[in-house]
Amino acid sequence: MRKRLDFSRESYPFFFYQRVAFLQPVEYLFFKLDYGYNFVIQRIAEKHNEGDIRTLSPQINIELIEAGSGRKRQGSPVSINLISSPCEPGVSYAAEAAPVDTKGFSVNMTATPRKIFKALNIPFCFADSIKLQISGQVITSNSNPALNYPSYADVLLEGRYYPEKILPYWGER
Amino acid sequence: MLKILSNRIDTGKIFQLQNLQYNEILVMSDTVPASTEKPGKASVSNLGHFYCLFMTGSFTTLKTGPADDAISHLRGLLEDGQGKRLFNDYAPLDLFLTPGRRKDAADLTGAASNNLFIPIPFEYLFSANTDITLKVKNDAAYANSYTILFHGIRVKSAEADPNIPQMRR
Repeated sequence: MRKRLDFSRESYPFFFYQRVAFLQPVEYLFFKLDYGYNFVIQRIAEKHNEGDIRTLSPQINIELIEAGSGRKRQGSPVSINLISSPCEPGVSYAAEAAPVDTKGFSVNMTATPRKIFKALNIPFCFADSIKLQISGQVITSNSNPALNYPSYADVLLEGRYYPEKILPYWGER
Repeated sequence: MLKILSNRIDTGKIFQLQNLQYNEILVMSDTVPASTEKPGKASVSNLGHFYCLFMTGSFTTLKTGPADDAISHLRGLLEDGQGKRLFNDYAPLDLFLTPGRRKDAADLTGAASNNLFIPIPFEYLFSANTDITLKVKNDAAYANSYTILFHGIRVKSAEADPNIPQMRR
């Protein structure tokens, strides 16, 4: 089979990564989509820290929302386990001196491996933003902040950009 | 089995196709010095385009000592040969690479992840004569290494495709 190539308008994979700090039980992440491209989420990799006590399992619930219209893709926030394979939770860690990436709050997590997963295929329209609501149990009573959980959640949305070919802005109908 | 036997195997056609499109693995391997950023590259030669299907990778988790502290110190941002970003930001390597953590000779007490073979799908066409680039930041005060394998298909036939502008003569 001969494959025709279109370098400018071919669909291509794109990974969105963002870290959120749990300052309150409910936090939001926004992923702005490129103009002229639809986006299909295929997998969600999520990892959060559990202090030093791995037996504690905080419940992380997520919900996907179309930011433009406010339309929710689920009826209510559900556990990450129900819609994607989460990474095994990591243990928070204070970075060594002079970290090169202070955007990550200078905190890294344990390199626990990813698990097997199924593709989700959740489409989002162009000119929109993916709003991800994350809610979890927050414990801040420990004097050592590293023991509070979950302090951070790393979210990686893996998917593909699909070019919008009938945009009126392109002069096509 | 019966289906295979009932069809004539056209060796000529199969060899012709195999010579033009065949499985290939591009390897990107590098060591990032302590507290720095360094771009790693995997060259897609002028032999033909490379149609990546999925990727696997591993990395070390060393800190000063040296000691393996099991912490993911590396973050990466992937770009294609034209400088187009395929990640929006520097993502921790443990989030998108499997099997992930590996043992390093600097500290043999560390444990590898021993994960199953779970390749991360990454279907993308990297054009010939370019570099796949992964900009990697190392947050540790000790050098860390990584290896990423891009599993895919070398598309030699694309070299003669008149629809590809950069290959026109």
